[in-house]
Amino acid sequence: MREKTKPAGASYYRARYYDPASGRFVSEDPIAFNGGANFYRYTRNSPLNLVDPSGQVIQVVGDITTWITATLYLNGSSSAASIINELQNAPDVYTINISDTYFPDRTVDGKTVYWNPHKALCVQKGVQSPALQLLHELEHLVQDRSHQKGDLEGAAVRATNPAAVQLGEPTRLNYHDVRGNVVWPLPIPSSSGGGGGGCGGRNGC
Amino acid sequence: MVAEMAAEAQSSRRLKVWAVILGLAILAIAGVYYVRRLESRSQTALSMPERKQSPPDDPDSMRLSTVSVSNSVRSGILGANFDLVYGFAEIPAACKVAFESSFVNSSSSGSGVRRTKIQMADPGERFNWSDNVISGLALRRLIFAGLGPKTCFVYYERGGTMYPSACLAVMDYAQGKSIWVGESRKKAANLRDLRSMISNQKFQDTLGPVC
Repeated sequence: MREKTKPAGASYYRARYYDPASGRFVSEDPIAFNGGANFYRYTRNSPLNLVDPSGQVIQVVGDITTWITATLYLNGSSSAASIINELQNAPDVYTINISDTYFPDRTVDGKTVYWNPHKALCVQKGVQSPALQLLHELEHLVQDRSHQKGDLEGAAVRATNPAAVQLGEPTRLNYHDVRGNVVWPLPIPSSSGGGGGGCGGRNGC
Repeated sequence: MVAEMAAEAQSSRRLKVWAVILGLAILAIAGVYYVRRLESRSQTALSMPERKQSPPDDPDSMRLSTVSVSNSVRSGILGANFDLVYGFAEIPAACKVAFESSFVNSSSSGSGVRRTKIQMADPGERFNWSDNVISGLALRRLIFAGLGPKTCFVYYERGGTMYPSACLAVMDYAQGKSIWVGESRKKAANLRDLRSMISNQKFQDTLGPVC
């Protein structure tokens, strides 16, 4: 791998730098020729985008920039990172479908997630980012992988609350702690500390 | 002897010439290959990655939207006598068709396309109550339905969501469609409770496709 100096505004994503402004990696994929001719692609572009380099086990369908933005953010929490790492190191293939039309977010059969990257969740203590909602669904994949039974929703909330604390977001009291949803421009909180929309209004939170 | 040596020298020169030509040819081919590869890499590196690929439709894209009415209409909407049924298959076709034809496909690829069959579990049956969905299980479960002389209603739990939700859809036989659809997080146990919830405005009917 020919490592480059980190450009301004770029983030280090696993083995490469990612520039959110251009939506491109600015250093080459370490798997080089095995990843195809274009080393700057996020592994193979089509039909599936795969997480490299370890497992090629997470397929992202939709706007991959939102996935990268969210996972970069979530990796700032050791608790969230452990959930993501468990999936990346799993032998199973998981699919993350991303669309603004999905509502609510869902996990189907423990293998496929439908995630809306711009829907934040209003809970009693505030607003949780769409990235944290993604983590909730990823935890369902982990549950399926480890054949967990019982109150899976309660367990998913308890598993993601430590990440909420580490990321400075409000925790969710329980699965039914839902006051509504608001649209955020990004899947993560903005630098000003909010997501661009509070909870309020009859149809909101 | 001299002639033989001259011929040998000439042959040697020819070999050298051919060797040089062959070498140049190999270099030329390699050069062309290298240049093409550089060009190819430059082009692909400059092109924007294909970051967007059409994702599939929402697994529950068939939705019933809430339908609002005035307070006066709503307060008397379940005023008639209703025969209650507790199985989706027991709902007569006239009511069921009016109910199912009120659903619309809200996905991007099938906007407005109507569907005739809605999967509905019966009371007590397993269904997908949360966002952790199992294929094959219904996302809706009947609580009870009521059959009146001019209208009917279907009252059901709406699953696949992050919170308990119950929807009430009232259909008019003559119009063949729903005339009021409301959603509430509370669930009525019987018709009396349901009427009480309506009069106490426990249903929201301006939420959009949430049922």
